[in-house]
Amino acid sequence: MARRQGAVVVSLLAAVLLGACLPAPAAAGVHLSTLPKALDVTASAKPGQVLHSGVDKVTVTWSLNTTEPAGADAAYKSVQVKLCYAPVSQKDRGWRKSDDDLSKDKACQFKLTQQAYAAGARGSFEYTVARDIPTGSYYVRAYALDASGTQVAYGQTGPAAAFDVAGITGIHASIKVAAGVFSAFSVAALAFFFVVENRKKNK
Amino acid sequence: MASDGAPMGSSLHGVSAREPAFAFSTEAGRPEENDASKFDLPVDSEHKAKSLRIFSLANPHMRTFHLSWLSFFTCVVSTFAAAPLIPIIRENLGLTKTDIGNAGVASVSGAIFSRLAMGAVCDLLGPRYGCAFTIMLAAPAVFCMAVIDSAAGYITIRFLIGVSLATFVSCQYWTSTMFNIKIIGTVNALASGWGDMGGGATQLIMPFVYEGILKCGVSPFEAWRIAYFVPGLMHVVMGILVLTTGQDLPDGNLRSLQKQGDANKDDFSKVLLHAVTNYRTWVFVFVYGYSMGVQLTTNNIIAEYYYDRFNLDIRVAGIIAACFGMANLVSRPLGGVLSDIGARYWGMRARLWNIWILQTAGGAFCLWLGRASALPASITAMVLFSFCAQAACGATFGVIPFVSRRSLGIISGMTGAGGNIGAGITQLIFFTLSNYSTGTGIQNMGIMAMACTLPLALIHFPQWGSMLLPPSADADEERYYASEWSEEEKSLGRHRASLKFAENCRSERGRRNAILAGPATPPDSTPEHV
Repeated sequence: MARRQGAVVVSLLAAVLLGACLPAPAAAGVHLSTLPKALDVTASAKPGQVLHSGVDKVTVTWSLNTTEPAGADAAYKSVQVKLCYAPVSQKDRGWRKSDDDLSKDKACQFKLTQQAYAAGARGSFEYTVARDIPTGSYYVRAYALDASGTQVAYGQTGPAAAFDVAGITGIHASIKVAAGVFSAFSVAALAFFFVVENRKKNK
Repeated sequence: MASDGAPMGSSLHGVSAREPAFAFSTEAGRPEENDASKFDLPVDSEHKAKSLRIFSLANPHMRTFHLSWLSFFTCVVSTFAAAPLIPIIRENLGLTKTDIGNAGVASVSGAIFSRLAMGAVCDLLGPRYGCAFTIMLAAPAVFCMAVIDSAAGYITIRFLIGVSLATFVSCQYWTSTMFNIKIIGTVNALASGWGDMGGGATQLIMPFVYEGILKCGVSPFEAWRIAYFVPGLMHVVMGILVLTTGQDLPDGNLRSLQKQGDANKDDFSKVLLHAVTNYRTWVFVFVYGYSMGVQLTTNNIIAEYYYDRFNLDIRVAGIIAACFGMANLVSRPLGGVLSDIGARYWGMRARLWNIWILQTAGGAFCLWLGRASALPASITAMVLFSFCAQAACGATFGVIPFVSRRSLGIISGMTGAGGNIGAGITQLIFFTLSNYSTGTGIQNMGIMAMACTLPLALIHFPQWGSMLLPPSADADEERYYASEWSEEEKSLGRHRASLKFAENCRSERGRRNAILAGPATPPDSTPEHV
């Protein structure tokens, strides 16, 4: 039996190691501090406003920052917009930590959109807050990507100004009812067996 | 050359010690033999099975074995069911690192007291009802996890589910009513190891169920709640199976168990006194916290660790985490087997060194696990860590039965509770109150495990020695075990079972010494012929 278990473990390990050998994602190793803040990004949600996930919308617009020289955006081919945790939502939560190395950064986990960048024009996107966005405070960051998909510039609305999202609880009435029914059944079944067997014993 | 020691595994004489006080079964007479033929397995005069046939479900012995380890397995699955789903739950409930850590501590703390109480419950109601009550009354807690929406609720529910780990005691108690003393060690090591495997199985089951529900188009924050119905239903199903197909005794009669229990009942306060005044009990309570405790803590944190540190998918993180717990299938029994092999040549000293080597190696691999930054090295370290820590658990229960004959049950219970206390403390210090990363916490846990295994050197048996000291020349087994009985009790002959046990323990001197030691004259035994 030990042999069979050993074979299972080895094959599991092999599967995981193969998975670990897969190529790293593109754009690894770009540092945020090296990127110019060339995009001017605004979000329609005001600081402190509460958006309800699945219901409310926020419109994100971006354009080339007026302080940049014209033509600086020649290399920008597409724009990637992300939702980032504000510092108050990162506190005591190491899995949301910011890192200058964008391949290790965990603060901006939600991609809102990635679309083509029109040079000199104002781009925008209307985003309905998804149902898997947790409750917390957020701001929006947009990266300008070049043809190879590497970040070459960015812009953000925060982290100072952040809006709130109220996530769904995930609790439906049907879940509540099912939990109640099964719990009651479990206790009742136990009581039933106990009483019936005691009665049989005392007879 | 005939082996001096008893067959492999027999040294683990009844971890729960609820077997009757006579160390050997009395031959009650011929009429018993007709009844014995109605059982599938060979039985002794008490109708306890003398062998184990794993792939059989025959009533009552093998069925009891499978029901008891499966019910313990189910409770371990539900206790650690949250662990692989923490990346989702922490977002849904807005948990902080402190909340997650507190919940982990809560999940192992409930069992500290419930395990101590379970022995009394089994005495009163029998192991079948002890098991069924625990598993079916914990089911509502599991179902209620699906409707929790705050950190406080999460911590409370994990505490309540963790209380169900008391089924460990009912599992061991129940098998010891069904299996003969010669094989009870192996049976209990298998049952407890396979039950502990639940900590690994849950890391496979929950992510897969969760992903399956996600594919049906349900959002993540609803999917994990629905996934929690799986362990809940397992509780209900196992509880009903135990109640409908289980029985307390080979002959199926609970009333006679209670009559037997009364006849052999020892004075609880005396039994407790001898347990707490034996310093070895406390050393084991402490040291077990760094094999079992470390294991329970790792069950709680390892999936989240792999998810965060290596950016793995929740299912892959679950598979890796499962490798840790599933190793219990073989590693815990292996620890007991190594203990028995060592004892055959070098006696008790080999058993103690065995525990120390395995537990320290486990700590060293844990340290490596925390430091490893490449995935293959990390997994290798984790697998080796799991084997060593779990084998150390099995090896510890290879020595516990020798600490005391009279108070074995309480000492086993206290040691088990020590495992949970160690788990709670470790999780609190390194993963809740700490400011550093989980990886650093794992390193520190490994260092602490290595350091806190050193007290094993203090365990000294006068008749067998310790890790560093040889045995005293004038000490023998009879004196050690008879010392637990007062003069008055000895005059009543109540210590006879202990003397019989002492004689059987001669093999713990090791091969060389056991030959030299003749049967010693028991110093305080009642004369046979007056």
